[in-house]
Amino acid sequence: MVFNKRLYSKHLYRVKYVPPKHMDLSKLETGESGIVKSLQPHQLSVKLSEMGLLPGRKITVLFKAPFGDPIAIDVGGYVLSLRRSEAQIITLMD
Amino acid sequence: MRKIAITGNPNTGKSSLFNQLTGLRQKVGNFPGVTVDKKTGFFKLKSGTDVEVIDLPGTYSIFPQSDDERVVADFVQQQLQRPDIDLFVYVADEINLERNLLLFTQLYDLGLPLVVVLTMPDIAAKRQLKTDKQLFSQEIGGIPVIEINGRTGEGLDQLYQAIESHQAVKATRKFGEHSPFDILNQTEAQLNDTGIRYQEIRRMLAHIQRPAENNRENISRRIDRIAVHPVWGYAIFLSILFFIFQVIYHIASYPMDWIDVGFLQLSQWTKDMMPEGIFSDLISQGIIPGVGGVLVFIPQIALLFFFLSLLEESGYMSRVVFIMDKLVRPFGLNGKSVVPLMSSVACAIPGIMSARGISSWKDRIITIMVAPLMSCSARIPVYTLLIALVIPDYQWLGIINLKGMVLLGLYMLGLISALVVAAIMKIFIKSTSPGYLIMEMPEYKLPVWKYVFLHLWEKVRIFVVDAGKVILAISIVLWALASYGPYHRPSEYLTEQNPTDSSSPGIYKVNDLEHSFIGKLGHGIEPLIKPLGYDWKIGIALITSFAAREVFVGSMATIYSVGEDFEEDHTLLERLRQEKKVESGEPQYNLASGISLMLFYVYAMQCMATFAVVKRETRSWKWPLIQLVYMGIMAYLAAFTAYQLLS
Repeated sequence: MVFNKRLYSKHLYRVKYVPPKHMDLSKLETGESGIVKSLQPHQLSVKLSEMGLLPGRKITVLFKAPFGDPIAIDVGGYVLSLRRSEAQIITLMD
Repeated sequence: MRKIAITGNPNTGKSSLFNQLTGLRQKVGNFPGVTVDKKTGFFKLKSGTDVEVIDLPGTYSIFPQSDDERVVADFVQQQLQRPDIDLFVYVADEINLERNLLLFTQLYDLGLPLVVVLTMPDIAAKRQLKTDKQLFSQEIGGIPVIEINGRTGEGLDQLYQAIESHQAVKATRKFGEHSPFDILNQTEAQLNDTGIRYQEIRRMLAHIQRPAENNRENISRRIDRIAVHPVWGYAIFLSILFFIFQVIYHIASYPMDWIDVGFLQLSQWTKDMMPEGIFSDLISQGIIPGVGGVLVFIPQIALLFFFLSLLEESGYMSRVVFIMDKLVRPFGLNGKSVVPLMSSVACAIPGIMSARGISSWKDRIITIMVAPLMSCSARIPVYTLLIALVIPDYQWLGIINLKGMVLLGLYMLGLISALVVAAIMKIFIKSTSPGYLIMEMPEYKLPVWKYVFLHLWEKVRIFVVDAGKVILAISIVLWALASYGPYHRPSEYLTEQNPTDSSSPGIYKVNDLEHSFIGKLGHGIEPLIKPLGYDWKIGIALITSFAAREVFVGSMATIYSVGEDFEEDHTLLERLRQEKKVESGEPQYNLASGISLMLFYVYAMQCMATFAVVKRETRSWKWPLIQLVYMGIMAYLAAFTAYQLLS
């Protein structure tokens, strides 16, 4: 049997369950690109989709503000800036 | 009379088109229920038909997230029930057509009468981006598609023609699955619908637009490497601010002096020309100086808005927002609050007026509420007088001067207090819509001078027309309180014109501040301000300087009957130094009472023009009153603590 560390800690030590990490826009470095997979349910997800962040869209991180937040990305030819917390709503393909 | 409305995304040249069409024939009102400006303008077609134009706020979609967007959604919904707009002019930027067309498809599906205006054809041409307007028009059922160059006005004729000969076009297709207003509160459906619309738009664009070759890094991106750089970015922003303040301090004082002197002479002239009496006094001493008191702000407002609209038009403003957002967010502010707050170091009025760019209502109100804490230029004369009076000459290492350090300290105190108060207000002010920074960063471009000046003109007019009324009213009240008193004057003041010596209470004209209502008020508040180290004379100066902080200096000079130019002529300083406390015989102005007064002026909302502008910008009396009270309490507590600790 494979020892499942996560389950083990969750059930035996009641440590807060940490969901498996998914790839989101906030994890991209400057210059890196990704393809939008989906938008997490959030108050701002409609707003983000209206700005062109839709599944299948290729986006590139152009630059980040000092301290790494907010970030500026290329969305189909225009520059969009958004905070890291807002970038976390956008899930990317692995 | 025809009515048209201009809609489209922000940063598309929507306002430029509005300005092109109407020039100076504009007026600013507001949309019902919200603090969003409603710009209306007028022009005449060649046929002689008058056209009324409404410039709707720029939005990305019809699903509202902010007040601006709610205005557009409400407006459109109203048009569906009771149409009175003949034509919606939809403005879209040719180089970002895909995103620009989302709102278009929503309006199109609702069956509104539309015409499409494509802007920035010059930039598109430079990038070899070609749009087939004919094919585009066919795709959307024959709705006219017109290219207009916002700089040259090329293409405007076609728009005039479209307005003149506009015919209802039947929608030939549907872009989305739902009619936008059927899914106003359904996030899931909105997401799906937006996806479908984008797909349709992309499919359509594949026919009508040949994409630009995008192999070369464009100029904007290269500028941005420096503009948002962790070191150069801040250095550039600080240098620009420094330059702007230098220009404002050096240039604005000249026209301000002309206005001051001009109105003083006009007041004297009117007084000489008119028969003596209360009516003459009202005009020459109440109304004329009151109008002067409004107009004297114009140089500062105009200069600051000249620079602000240059920054806005060139696209640099969004870079400032970008690099400052993280720094000010812990204080409940937004990157967009930074420029309004920095402007307030020159003058809070344009600072507060420029807070309109902040889309989140909560962030905007917090910015407006703390802006007057930033040390504005009107505090300088008060600070320098008090520093000269009570701070000893002392130097460290031959270069660091104690007086200079105190002045710097007062500025820093204003800034820190603004941030702290903002952080506290963040907890108390409730907000319905989330604050966000999802913001387009437009490409850099050269500003169009005509629009810069139109913008400046608009701001000055809003100030004079809307805030001016309140300022004039307050200054007339202050004048009346300063020139009339409750009892007859002491006999040594009796003159031939007014030989009354009745001692019954009434309203009498007085010749000095001490016997006026304000003088009585100053005496009346003495018990209240005694713990701060002030006497009734300072009380009078505090009341009169509600008009504007720098009036403190003039009032002190009037009370002690000396000249007010304390930097050239030292009589005011000497007179103040001699002033003794009645009971103890100690100097009235010592370190304790001096510091107490400085702190009072750091915090107190001593500016009726700011009060009036906050009322104008928030469209309510509630916020300016809250501001007046909270700043007053802070001023009192700070001054009280300082005096009690130091004396």
